[in-house]
Amino acid sequence: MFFIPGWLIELLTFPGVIVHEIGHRIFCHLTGVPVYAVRYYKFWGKPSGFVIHGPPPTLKAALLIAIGPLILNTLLCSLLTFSAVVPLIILKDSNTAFPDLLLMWFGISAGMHAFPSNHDMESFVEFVRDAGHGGALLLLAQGFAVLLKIANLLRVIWFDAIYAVCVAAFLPLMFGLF
Amino acid sequence: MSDHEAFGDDASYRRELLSAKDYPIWIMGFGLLVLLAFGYSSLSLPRHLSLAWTLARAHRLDQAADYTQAEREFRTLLAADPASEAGRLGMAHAILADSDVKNDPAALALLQGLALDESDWKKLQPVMPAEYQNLFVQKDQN
Repeated sequence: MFFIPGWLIELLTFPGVIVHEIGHRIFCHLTGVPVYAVRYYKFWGKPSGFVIHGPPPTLKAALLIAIGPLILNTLLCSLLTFSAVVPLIILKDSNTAFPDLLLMWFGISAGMHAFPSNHDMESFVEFVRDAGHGGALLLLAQGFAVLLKIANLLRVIWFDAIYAVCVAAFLPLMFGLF
Repeated sequence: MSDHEAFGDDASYRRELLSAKDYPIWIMGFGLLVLLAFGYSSLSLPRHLSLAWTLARAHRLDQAADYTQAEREFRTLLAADPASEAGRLGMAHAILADSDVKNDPAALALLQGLALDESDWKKLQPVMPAEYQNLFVQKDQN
């Protein structure tokens, strides 16, 4: 197991950070939630990206905004790496085309930043609680938040990269390429 | 991250409603690049799928000991993509595994310049003549 500082990973996978913030923003607009400010990517300073938006009107909107990156980044990772997986991994081409390498880098970067942040999930749980939802729904939201927090915690052992690789392998597996 | 509190000290991030079309130019450029990447991926996909399926078919035939058909499939693959190391390796295996030894030098030529990992070697070794095996050098990765 080898460790790389988080800032270096964010630098190397910056397209994923940008897509992550775009994911939040797109779902804000799709659900009619006002967006006030967006930082798509900033190398120096924490956090490297954020979206400041108004309060979501419904539970569905809050959930979609929170998991927007999970949807968009996962989709992009899967679609962009699909074609590039063939020459790089399956055929093991000795002279792989540069665009395929770019696609793989971009797709894996997107996949690595698919998980909503802990703060995203806390906001969602807070919304569920504030909206007066209790019982099963609140438990479900809390359970989902805990799962994503565990996923974020496991980034230290490359869980984000493992997730990206699994997403990249999904379509080739479905098409019987392996 | 969706945040309402953490950036309160940064006044520039406050209360300016952004419309759904209000994206910075560089983000539009970024989006365009994503679209171009998607276009390239879609255009290259049919060829890549066809090659991968040919390889999968060739491997299946090779595993079923139908070496003549496997060689035919590997040949089709290598004609379309001579740089495929998986294709060269598979073809070499099929040639070495078939009963016709006169083609064995061709298998050796296919393996020239390839760095075989342990699993490749385990697959090739049982079908490779001993005199060929001596031509390979084992290198430790550590």
